[in-house]
Amino acid sequence: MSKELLALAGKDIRLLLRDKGGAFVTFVFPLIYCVFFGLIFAVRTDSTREMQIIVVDEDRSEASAGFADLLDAAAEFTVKRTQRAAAVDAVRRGKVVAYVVLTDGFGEAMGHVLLNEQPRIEVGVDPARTAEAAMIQGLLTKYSFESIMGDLGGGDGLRRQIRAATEKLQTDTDTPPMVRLALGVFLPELERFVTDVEKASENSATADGSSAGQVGTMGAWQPIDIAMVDVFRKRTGPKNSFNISFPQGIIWGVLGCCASFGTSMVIERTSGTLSRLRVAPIGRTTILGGKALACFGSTVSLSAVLFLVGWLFFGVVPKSIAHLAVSLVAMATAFVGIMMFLSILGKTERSVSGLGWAVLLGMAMLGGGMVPQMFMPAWMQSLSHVSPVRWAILAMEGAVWRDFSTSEMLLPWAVLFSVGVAFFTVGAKGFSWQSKG
Amino acid sequence: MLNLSHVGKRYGSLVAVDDLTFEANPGEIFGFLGPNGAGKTTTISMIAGLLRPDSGTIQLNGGAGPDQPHARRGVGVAPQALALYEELTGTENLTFFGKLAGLHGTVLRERVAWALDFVTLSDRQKDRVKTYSGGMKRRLNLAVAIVHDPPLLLLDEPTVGVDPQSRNAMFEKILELKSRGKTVIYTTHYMEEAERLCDRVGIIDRGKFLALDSVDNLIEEYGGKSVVTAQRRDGEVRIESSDPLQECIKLQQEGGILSLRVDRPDLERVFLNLTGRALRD
Repeated sequence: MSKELLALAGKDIRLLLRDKGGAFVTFVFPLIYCVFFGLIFAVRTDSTREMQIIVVDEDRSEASAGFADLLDAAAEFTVKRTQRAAAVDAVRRGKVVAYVVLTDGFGEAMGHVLLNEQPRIEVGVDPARTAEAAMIQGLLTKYSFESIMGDLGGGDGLRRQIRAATEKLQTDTDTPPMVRLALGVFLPELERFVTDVEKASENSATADGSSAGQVGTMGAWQPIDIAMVDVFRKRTGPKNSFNISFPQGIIWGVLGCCASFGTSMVIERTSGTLSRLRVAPIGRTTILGGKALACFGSTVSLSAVLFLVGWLFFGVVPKSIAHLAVSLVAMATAFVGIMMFLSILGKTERSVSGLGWAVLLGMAMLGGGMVPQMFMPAWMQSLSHVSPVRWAILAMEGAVWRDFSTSEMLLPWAVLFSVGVAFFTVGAKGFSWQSKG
Repeated sequence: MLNLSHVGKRYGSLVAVDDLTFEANPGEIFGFLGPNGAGKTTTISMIAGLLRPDSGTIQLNGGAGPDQPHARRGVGVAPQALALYEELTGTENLTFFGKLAGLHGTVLRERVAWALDFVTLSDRQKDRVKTYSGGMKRRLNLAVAIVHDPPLLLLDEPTVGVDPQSRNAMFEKILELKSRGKTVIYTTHYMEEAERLCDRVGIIDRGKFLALDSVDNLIEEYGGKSVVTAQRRDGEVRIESSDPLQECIKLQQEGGILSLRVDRPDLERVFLNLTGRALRD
């Protein structure tokens, strides 16, 4: 690369950085956008506190139906019921957090829980969702305790009956001495058992599952046997809201670059410095190349830095660094071309700036730069195909969270490169025509 | 050094430059004198390669035309409109344009320092151009033209908007460049500048050379006679003469003279005689 080309590009980048307004629009505003909208989308996500689960009742007993109803009524869950295969598929697709299978024999084991028989529950969850898995374990333990207590008639009532029986036993002379002796040992032990079950139940309701049942004499006793099954989720959605807001925010930075450099071409023309460049011993191609290189370098650097910030602080982890790198190059190519095109839209700074932003905002509106495409109606999503912004966002998302294969990435890349070449050709011809004496 | 042969340029039906032919020699200051719109800037633009002539040829520094980038390496241009990056410092402007002209490393740094010193801007070299006065910007505009040490300088009305003191300083610098062997093409509509600086002057109007020669020869050929104006008790007397000194002596001998004034012909008069219009009309 020629030293003259680098000098031209370096000068333009220096001028951009010295223009406080331009630098803000190009570098700071996109970061604010990324974080602000990321947080807004995150709040929206967090407000859905109930975990969606699917309950599969394979036991079809009275006890399993009662337990399923208990989960259905639980505030922490939104419960759907279906068959095991559909439940597994739903978890894999990420439509629900987990499935809970009340296995065959659940009801019978529930009836013998005092004999240390444990009803078996199978929970299928994405291993990446460790927090949700632990919470579900804790909640299932809690509700199993509640179920057991319900079967026993409730803690307080049972305890009153035990105490009344114990008092009566002390004054009852009709009961044979051997029976009174046995009941004298059994009834206090029964009361202690009920108390411990209640304490364990309370504890499991607040714990993340790992500490359930570690209170009092209950020790490690668990009323149910929970078998956790890993169901690897297909990644069809973003990992978090910042995965959506960062590509969108970066687009605004790219548009800022595009507008700044497009306007700078006109400023060069109106301030006379373009004439000075043209009388310098460099060709017209070098002048255009310098401007293009500055815009390209700024766009790629800006995008890379913002992605790095997203990666380090907001969990925006690209699925493929190589895909992301090519996407950024393709996006920069497209918007360098558009910058050249914008620069010939008018003869004054004001006209180019106004018309340029009108064109760019139109592209952003259609292409999902303002509202994420997933929230757009179908007709608008179809219309968005004409906007380079759509393809730029798709290329970035494809590399970040959509997990596109290379062949899937080819279309957005091809569109972006084509847009860049086409617009640059038109812009360069217009520039030559405007400069022609 | 510079050769124009039958160069013409039209904008639609308007003839901006009409069949200009001249040659500028090494170490010469060649002036284009003419009113606004005469075609001076168009001619400079064609010499600099900004405009393509419709007819004729332009040769720079021994053959190549200005459309060839390597030929433009030997040309420095100070355009009439200031062409500087206001957000860059003086040093940054000069460094940038020096790089475009092919300078690098130590040579570049030395040339930038020299150019700043030449136009006496060394003390403001780290300030952004937007903080400069009009005169300082004019000087920097000249420094950009000379930073790469070109043998041919195109100075398009370089003193426009400059105060008299700065203008005199600018004249000194241009004469110093001439003494260093530079060829200077200088456009102006101030006849005083042309008379003071130029070895030869081409008087241009409506795109055509009306006359081209040294200042003295132009005045002698087209300026007409000197005018001696005598104020006497009985009124004013104006006498045209090619020997005004003799006329003054004669008037003095006649007596009754209150004051005498001699108006020698100048380029203004030359232009008036050639076109029937004043230079600033």
